[in-house]
Amino acid sequence: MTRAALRFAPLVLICAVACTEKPAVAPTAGDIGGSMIIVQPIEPATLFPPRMNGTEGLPIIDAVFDHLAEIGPDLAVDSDNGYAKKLATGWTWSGDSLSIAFALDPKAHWHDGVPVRAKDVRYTFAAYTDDSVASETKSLLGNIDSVTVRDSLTAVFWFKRRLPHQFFDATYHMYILPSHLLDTISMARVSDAPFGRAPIGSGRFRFRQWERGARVEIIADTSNSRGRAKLDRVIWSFTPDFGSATVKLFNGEADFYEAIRPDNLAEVERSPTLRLMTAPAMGYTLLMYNLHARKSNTVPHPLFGDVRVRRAIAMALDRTKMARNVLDTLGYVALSAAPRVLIPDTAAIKQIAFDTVAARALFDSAGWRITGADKIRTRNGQPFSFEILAAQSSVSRQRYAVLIQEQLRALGIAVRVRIADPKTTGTAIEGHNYDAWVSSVGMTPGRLGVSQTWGTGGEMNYGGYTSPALDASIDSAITAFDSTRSRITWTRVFQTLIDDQPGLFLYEPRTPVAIHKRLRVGTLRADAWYANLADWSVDPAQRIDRDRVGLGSAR
Amino acid sequence: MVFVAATAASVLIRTAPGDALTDEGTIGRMPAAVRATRRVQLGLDLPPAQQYVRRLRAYSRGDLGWSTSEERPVNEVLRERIPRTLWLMSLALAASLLMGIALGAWQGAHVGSRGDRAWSFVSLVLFSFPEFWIAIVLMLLFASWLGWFPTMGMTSDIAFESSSMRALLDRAHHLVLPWLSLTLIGTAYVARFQRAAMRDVFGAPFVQTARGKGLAEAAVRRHALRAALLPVIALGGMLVPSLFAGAVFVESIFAWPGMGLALLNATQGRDYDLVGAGIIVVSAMTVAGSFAAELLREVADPRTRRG
Repeated sequence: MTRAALRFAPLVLICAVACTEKPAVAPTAGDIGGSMIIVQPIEPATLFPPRMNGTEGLPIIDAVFDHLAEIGPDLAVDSDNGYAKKLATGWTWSGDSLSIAFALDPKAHWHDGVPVRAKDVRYTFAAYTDDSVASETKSLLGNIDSVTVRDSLTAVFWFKRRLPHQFFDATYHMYILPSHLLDTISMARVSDAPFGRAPIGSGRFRFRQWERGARVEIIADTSNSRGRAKLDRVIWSFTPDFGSATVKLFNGEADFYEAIRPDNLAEVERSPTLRLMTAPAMGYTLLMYNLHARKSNTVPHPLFGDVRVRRAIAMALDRTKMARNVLDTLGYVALSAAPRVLIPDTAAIKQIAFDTVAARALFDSAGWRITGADKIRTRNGQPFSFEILAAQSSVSRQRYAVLIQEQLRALGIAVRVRIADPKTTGTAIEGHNYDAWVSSVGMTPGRLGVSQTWGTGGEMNYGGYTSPALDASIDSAITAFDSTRSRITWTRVFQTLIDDQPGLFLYEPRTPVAIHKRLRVGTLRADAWYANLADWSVDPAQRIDRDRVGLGSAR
Repeated sequence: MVFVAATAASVLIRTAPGDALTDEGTIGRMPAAVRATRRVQLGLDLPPAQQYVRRLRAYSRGDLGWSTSEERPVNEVLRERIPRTLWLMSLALAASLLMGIALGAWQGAHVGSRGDRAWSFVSLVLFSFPEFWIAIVLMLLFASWLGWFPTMGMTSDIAFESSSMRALLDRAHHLVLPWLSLTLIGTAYVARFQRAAMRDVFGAPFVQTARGKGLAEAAVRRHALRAALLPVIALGGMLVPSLFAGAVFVESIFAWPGMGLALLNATQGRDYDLVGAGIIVVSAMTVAGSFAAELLREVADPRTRRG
């Protein structure tokens, strides 16, 4: 053998060893097994449930932690009908309905082997509502007075008043936490504790590892009392942006992408390995008006402070055409301040009809007339001109802003569109330094978001809308036990918002999800596509290499 | 210099709109009262000057602060991310210097030849393109179209064997394209300087004397190369900050979870503590690179040694 060959022999040997190693084949039975890679452009900051801000970490938390009970697929919040048992095996209402006693599964245990107990539920409520934990969920738990321990397996929720959604409040928002791991840490420090980076839950998946900037891996908990998850593992793979996520998906390095962009849909449909699913979204997009002058909380906005102007704009814009133009089949015209799934009687809602003739007349009657050669409406020398703020992160919202600009130009209104990054947009909104903002509002099934966004003094009422009539209607609606009365009062709420037009309700998106054809996922729930992740499986006939790794370490 | 850079970064990032909690998505979800509480917890409610003074006091205690974008101590973030970037940068720097010097030296010894002209053209083209463009082209060609390399990441999401050899090869496989993106431009940069330096040295009197005395051409070139290395050694120190700047783009494109990507995300997320600490680290690396270059120059050129 020549000297040159000898020099390269070790390298050749290494390559030969590496290249001939075959993937290990793990035993599988039926639809048990498999690995799924979810690509995601945003990495969560923490996996501590009370401090989750943003939806990026929720699927992981939902897989690793448990609620006491899981809401049914119809998302009913006005009773406990349809809820599936999770950590609770049953519940008992008190005679006055001001308390619910949850009986915990005696076989439920944390992933470190310690049994789940009632004190964990008590601790969870304390953590979610503690001021220093500063959970964004706290305001949704306002009707729960306290949680007590009757015995080691019974936790009792006490409520301040009887409301239809008591059960929903007690079960939907909180993921039960292990008090034995957290109660020795002060509430002021618990959010910063390492637990948020290596959580221990009770779910059918357990947390495996988190490589920052790269991935989070969870694996099936084989000792779970409700049975292990069908998949061996789920990996959330993080990419710097939407484009990288798409590249990874189309290269076969990922199986699931929730936020596939409309521009990539055709490629998904052409792909031999991917398919498209659409999930209804629990939100809507609107053109939210600042009803006060910029940076003011008292002086009415010179344009949008007048309800006639707001209604005239609604008449001037063809929302159906805009939805078709921007979304095609991936969205609907929004009916009001909630997605369809949360509006009890959609047929009863009356929309403001698209009518440019009526719009012009209403602008004229509000004093905004076209007098100059520039064809821009003016009133007392002031031109009808305003700025629409739209987020850089959403192509759909940007397109809507441009379409609105174009349609209003024809009616003598000068609109400037400003596309800004999330921080600039957030700063403008927080400081009430904007005219109109194409905003997306996400909601939970409880409809509390309506009062948060539109109620007087609502925490997310950035437009400054106030309406005693609406406040009274909302209060009636959320306290209505009778289903007919509930339907009527909620209809009144949504109709008031349409009539008053504090914002123009633009569209309700359907979220396109790209998913590998081998995955069996069932119906995606509107509020949480990941709700039944533990029951997702891989078609045994279509397994690929990464499905054969087994439950050992993936790395 | 490190102090000036860190102060400038601290001032500049606070002039950008918003803070860690002023994000369109966050304000749409998080009640104002909760944001206010968190601002107090993070010290963001204080005037910028007071925040800066607090930060300096914390630095003096070795406390680099809390990363709001990763919800963990900045020390932890740096401990994890810096080695990943150093790994990428040091390999790129070493390859750029070695290949750049070799190519430049060859060009310098064969000025005007076909090979010299061809490589001059190639290096000019490479030098003209930004790293991120080269990175995207490499990814499209070798990862997306040919499928020879993974598109992104430092390691595979799933490794089929847990052997350390397989893990090493997996890392190497992922390293190729990001490394190449940085190295191609670095090599072109160094080669151009080396070529110019060789040309100057070949015109020096001592080279003519050596040739006149009948020294073999190979020996003449060896002596010329040693003299021509001096400016390139200095260049090596300057390459450190430019490689880091390139690494920011390359890490972003290839999702390489290093310091560059962390700083980019921290800047976008107004993670003041991580940005401040990151700038300190980069400045320190720049200073260290220049210092190392100075030391090497003294080793290579006895005339510059002090004392």
